[in-house]
Amino acid sequence: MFCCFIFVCGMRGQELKEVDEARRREIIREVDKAASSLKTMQCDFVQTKRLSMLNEKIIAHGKMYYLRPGLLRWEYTRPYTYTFVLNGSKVMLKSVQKKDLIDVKSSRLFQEIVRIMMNSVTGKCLSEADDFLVTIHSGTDTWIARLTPQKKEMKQMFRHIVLHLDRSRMLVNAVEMVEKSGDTTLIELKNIRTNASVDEKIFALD
Amino acid sequence: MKRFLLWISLWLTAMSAAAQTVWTDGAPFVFDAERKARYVLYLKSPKADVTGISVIRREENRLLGSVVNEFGLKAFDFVYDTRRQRVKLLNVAAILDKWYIRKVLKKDLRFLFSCRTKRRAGSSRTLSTGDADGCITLENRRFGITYRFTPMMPADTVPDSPEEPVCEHRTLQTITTNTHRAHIGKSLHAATKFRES
Repeated sequence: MFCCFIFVCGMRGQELKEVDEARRREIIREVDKAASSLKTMQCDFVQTKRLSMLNEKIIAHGKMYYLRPGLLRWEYTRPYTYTFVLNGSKVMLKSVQKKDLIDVKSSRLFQEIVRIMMNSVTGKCLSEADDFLVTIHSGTDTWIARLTPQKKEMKQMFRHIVLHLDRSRMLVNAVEMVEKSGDTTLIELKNIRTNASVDEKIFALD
Repeated sequence: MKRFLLWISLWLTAMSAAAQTVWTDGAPFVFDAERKARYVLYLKSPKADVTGISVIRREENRLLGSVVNEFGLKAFDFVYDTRRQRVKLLNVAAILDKWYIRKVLKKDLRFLFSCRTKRRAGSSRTLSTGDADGCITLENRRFGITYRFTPMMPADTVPDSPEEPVCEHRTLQTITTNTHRAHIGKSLHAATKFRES
């Protein structure tokens, strides 16, 4: 059993190779170009939160809609309902108990989180050199970008963020956030549809 | 006859008192077969309202818990020692990591988990539970903070567009604590600081 484990790990190790600096820049350019041509995006997502202290997982499901340049709807449907809508510089947070309308500019931390959320969805955060130190590993059909935060606000929250990119579609299909406490949050994007029509009404701040 | 009625009334009083003390350590939370409880948390304070998810695991002499927001970001972890009735906070998010916030949070959690043994007069805290929906509300009147825990449905059994139950609370019991006079000044100072934060 142990030998099998070592073998599988070894295989995985062989599959993923860190790319050199020239290739890294090239990949970032390619992803950035693909992000620029992305007008709309919609998908389902599964968020798996691993609580290290409790050895427990919280799995949440939801839907995501993106419309360029600054509209994002991130909606949890089960086991809890929670909606995040970014519309320009305003954010609406809606749960069963309450609804908040926040001006993103009012908090620097919030501004950072929103910007990184948006850029993670499109893959644009790879080119934000001030925010993260980026290393990229290449697999047969994926690129795995490891982002190490450089800014204080992000450093306080995350040890690193890992983006999984589909090489053929140049799209982020999973985001893993590793916190300082050792907890991880994996968001897997499924049934991704790009540049299909998205009704702008869903980004209304009600 | 009078004696009989007296006995009846004493018996009823004793029964109602017994009904209030059936909670075990960690109650009023409802734990599953894996000794875990999952709740949606709504925290209302004078400065801000926040929501999140709380998971609690019961072990022999302690309760372990985590509070995260809906996006999965950690707010804090806690360990409650059921024998010593002490709360330890761990991995507190930077935005909450202030001594006065920690202090209030620890006291509120201690009250929440040790409620079955705390029945003294002069309280600033109230604990109430919804009947059928299993919601739990802790109110800290001194600082104007309300913690509302709503049971979270297991992911597998929840339909696509569920609505979490909105708690209609009836106060089943009001449990009170004394605050040591020597701490009143400090607490007020903490309250001011907390409101300022």
